[in-house]
Amino acid sequence: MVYSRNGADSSVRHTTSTAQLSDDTLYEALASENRRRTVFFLLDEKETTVETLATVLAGWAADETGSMSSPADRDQIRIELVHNHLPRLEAAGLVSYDAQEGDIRITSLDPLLAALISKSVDSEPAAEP
Amino acid sequence: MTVLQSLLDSVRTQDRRFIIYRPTAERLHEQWFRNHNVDVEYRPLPAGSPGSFLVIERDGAFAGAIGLDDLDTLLQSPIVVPDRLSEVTEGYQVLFDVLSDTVFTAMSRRELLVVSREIEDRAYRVGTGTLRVSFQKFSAFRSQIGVYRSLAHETDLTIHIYAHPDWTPPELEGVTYHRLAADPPERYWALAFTGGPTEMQASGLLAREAPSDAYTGFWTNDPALVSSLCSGLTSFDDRAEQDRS
Repeated sequence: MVYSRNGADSSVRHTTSTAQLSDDTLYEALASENRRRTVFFLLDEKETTVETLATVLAGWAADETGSMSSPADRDQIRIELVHNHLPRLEAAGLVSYDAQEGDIRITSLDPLLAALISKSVDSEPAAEP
Repeated sequence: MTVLQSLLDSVRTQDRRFIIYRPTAERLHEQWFRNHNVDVEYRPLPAGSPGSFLVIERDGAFAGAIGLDDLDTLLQSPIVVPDRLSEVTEGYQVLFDVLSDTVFTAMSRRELLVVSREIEDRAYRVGTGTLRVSFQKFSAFRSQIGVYRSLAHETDLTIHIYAHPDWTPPELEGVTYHRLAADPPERYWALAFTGGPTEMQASGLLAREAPSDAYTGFWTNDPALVSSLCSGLTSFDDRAEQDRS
């Protein structure tokens, strides 16, 4: 996809992107490390499940803190995903989430936004809350 | 079949999976797991992921995750067996938890000493309960006298030592020696600590010596397995002479 910095791109996709980037719910949705990591993981995987995502987030947390993530730690992450993170990401139009099946899919993201999220996850200092 | 052998077999058949998640195609630690006859699977992560980690599943459910950096340190660094109690590092406690209830082959004496020290250290910290230990020979117990003197003198633990009497150990208050009458057909390295007032700290180790001076065995935090291990050790009394010091 071609992204035009000066907004000269007249495609329909561009209109959607502009709407996404100017929406406050987008920035609120990304104001959490685990929500940014969720989008980062989905940018690569395209689709996943709540169970897989909870395991990956628990694994990253273990690597970061240098301790073991227990089943209780992972359960806590899964509960937060279902009741907080995924509804917020869906409301911001970043993912689609089937609460019945637990399936999560990424929606089309503005490439600038995708690059920003990847960079924020990659370079995130460990101490950030 | 002895109680201990059937216990080893029952743990061997439990469903365990080790899965390494990492952003590269490298088959990290494959050799270590292969050497110990345990399968490891690999799953990809996106490039630029904030970490790589090992996931342990038991009976199809998530049982724990640990960062690969920590696993590297634990598996590759030279193992130092602490001489004193309460010097076991937190890292080994994590490793104990992560790799528990899995039968590993080709375990070295050094690896088993570290696991044993972790169990002895838990018993020392809890300070009550029963600790049963099988040394193959009393001469093998000789190098551990310092540790067991601390355990006997500084705690209210009840300690039972099982071994073939090729050496006469010193009398220690709170320690009962069980002299195994003959060299047993299968030689086990075993420890079982009941955990004191609660079962939370229960832990145990069971390993059978192979002809090549390597061991096949497991360690556990599971109170039910520790209880079975205690039964296996007390069954030695059928062929042992007790000598309460």
